[in-house]
Amino acid sequence: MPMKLSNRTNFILTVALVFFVWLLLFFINGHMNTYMIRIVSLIGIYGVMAVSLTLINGITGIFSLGHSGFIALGAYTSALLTMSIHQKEVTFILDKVAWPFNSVQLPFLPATIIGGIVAAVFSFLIGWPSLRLSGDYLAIATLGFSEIIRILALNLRSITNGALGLKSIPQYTNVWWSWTWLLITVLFVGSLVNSSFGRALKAIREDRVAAASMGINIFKHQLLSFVIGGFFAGISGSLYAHWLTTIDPRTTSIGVMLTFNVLIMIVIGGLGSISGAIIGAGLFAILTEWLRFLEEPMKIFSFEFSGIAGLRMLVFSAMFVMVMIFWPRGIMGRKELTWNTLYSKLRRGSGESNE
Amino acid sequence: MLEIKNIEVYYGYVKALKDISLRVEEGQIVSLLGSNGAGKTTTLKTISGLLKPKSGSILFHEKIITHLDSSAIVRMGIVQCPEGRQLFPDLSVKENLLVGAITRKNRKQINDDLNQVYGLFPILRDRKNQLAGTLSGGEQQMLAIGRALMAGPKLLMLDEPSLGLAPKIVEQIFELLVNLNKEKGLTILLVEQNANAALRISDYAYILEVGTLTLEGDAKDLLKSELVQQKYLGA
Repeated sequence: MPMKLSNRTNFILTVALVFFVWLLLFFINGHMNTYMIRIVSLIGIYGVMAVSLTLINGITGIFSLGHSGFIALGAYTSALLTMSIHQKEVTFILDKVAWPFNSVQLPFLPATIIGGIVAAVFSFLIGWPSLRLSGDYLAIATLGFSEIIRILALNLRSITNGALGLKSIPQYTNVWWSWTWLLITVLFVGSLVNSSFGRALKAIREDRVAAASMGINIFKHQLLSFVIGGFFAGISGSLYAHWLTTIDPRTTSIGVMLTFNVLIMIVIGGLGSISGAIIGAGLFAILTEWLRFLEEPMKIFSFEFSGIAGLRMLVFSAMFVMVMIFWPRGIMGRKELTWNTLYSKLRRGSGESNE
Repeated sequence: MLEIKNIEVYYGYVKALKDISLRVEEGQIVSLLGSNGAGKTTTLKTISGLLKPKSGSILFHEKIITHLDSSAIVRMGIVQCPEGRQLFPDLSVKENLLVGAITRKNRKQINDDLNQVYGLFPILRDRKNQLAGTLSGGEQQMLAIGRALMAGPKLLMLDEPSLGLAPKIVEQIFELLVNLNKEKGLTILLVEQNANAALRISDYAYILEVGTLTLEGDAKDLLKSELVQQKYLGA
């Protein structure tokens, strides 16, 4: 038996998996309740967020804490573009909505792409000065920038409606939109990582000096990776806005909290692994919803407990600590879940029984 | 081929290199010797563009390269094999080698060179899918040299290839360097603390002491020189 699967087998298996997932989505969409469908959509959205941050943090080794800033940019841009002109007039009661948003309404797809482009442009503007820093300094600088974006959203009332935020954004995001974008993100980032550009990114992560002495232009590579990550963060922001239907500039909506949530996903999944990022996103979406029962009134041995708000986040943090103790590098580490790794696992399993 | 004229390099306010001038002729093996802190690594880093000199100039094939960035310098054919190997531990052996060829575009040629490196170091072929961090010290040094060769160097600069290796493996590696020089005509600039081994394979050598060149000459003469024997060869 060959050691590795051929490229052809790999391709067929991947297509089959995508087909299977789509069948599953079809089933979920047709036979499950709205609540479940919404969670499945959320997994796709979180997946796009996590994979885009994986490219920046895990693969290139840029410790960025600015992800929510780019997500917010994508969210605001696309929401302002898809809301009807009348709806915007009704919503903006503090200041009148500024041009061009007072006269345009676009379908969901172009609005999402524009949201991604706006986020990419801003990540270029932010990356240009701050990528000259490294390590903790870079983390602080990017965190600061994302906070600036949030403060701008709070104060640019003619664009963002200030603290009131945007309400009644059309609920366009469904399982198809979120999972198709997840597929696009994974295909794009995945093929990037396996190209020579991706190898250069990983080399920079491993050892900057050695990478530079191999002739890799560190700044250019990091900036490009940052901008691509920013683009997909903007896409995920658009999906998220049309899933939530309201966005506002509180830290708990699309502020710093979101950055840390995405960071939790990719650290649980394995920093530097795309498949790990998706596993982390799925776990995060499912666990935060499932643990809600902890906050409901409970009856234990005829004692009545009223629900404690926030208890699920406490339990979630404890689970997070356990993951860090038993899998310090996350569930996948830096490895990818590929057909080859599965195949060699299976072979090892059957090989032992033969001997 | 390579000519350094009166360079001065600073780390902040500290002067690390004082008025250094040296030449490497095509087809030679030239060593740069000296003890810790003499400025050997600083010299190599300055040549490969990782550090910029405050004054003086560096010429490669009669062209000034002092102000080029490191990727342009690698593209011209000056490749450094950094001290302490500095591999990418979480990349596989093959990926490490391919990173070496990152400045090159011709895929067929890269593939040919990959096979050549596997020919030089068969152990790397056997372990091509293993993570570089799991190799032994000697294998890592081979991988570091292989990775540098993947960049298609005209001038290969090695920073202490004997560091932390068993004497037998040091011998193997030096033998390989001689072969690369004789058979492929590769010019080599070698930085070493192991003066004895380095002088044996070199054509010419320079000796650095706290940032200044104190002695230079044909390697054969330096091996015999009493001063060098006392200071560096422990005789």
